[in-house]
Amino acid sequence: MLKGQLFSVDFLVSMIAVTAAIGLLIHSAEVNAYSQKEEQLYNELKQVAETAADLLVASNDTACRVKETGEHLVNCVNSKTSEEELRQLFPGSGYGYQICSDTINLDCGTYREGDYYEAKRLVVTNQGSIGKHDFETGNFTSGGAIEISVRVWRT
Amino acid sequence: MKGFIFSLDAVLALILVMMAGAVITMQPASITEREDVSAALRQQAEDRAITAFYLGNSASESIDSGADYGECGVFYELMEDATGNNLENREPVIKIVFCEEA
Repeated sequence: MLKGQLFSVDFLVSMIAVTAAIGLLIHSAEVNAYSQKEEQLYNELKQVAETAADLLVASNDTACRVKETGEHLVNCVNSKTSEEELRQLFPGSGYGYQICSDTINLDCGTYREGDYYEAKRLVVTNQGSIGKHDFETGNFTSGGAIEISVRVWRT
Repeated sequence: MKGFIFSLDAVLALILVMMAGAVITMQPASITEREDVSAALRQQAEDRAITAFYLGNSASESIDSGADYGECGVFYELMEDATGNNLENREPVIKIVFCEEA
């Protein structure tokens, strides 16, 4: 220590190191809090979109019905499902959503670029109820499997 | 050691602690991502199996065996004889592998 020197060089260096470490710690805590919030939002959107997609392919309102037996076919979507029935798959407010595919379309093209979650399902579609014979011979109006995309975002 | 602020031991220890910190912070994110990919592939496998059953195809036909598949093989059980859908008499299931294309 020189005359007039208040702190030693060691002390000053260690103080700088401790300050930098505390700064890094606070920054890391902020980043963690932010990413947790982001993850929470992502999980929320994921849950809404996956639930809507599951309902779309399996609920009695949207799934194809076999005329003769009244059974509903999972992963077969009635392409005549009304827009209102499709909207009922989603929560009432707070979310924007769209359903896009070759045969089923709900507000496709309206989503805001950025934070949305997309759930995809591979389905067959049929216009209205399907006859047992058509079902047994694989004669669906979509002709093959098509991909349905359900996108959900926060409004 | 004149001119040295920290000893080599201290510097090495600091590097090790920083690396350990980085590994601990990165790990949960990669696990979540992997779970997401796995869940999406499982969903795809289920969808392929059921739509192939409806259309009278074998689901394994829809998988390109020559393709270079990436990580995450998902095992899924599938109707044994996909031809001829029958509401009264469902066919048993077999195991197939479905992987992400690399």
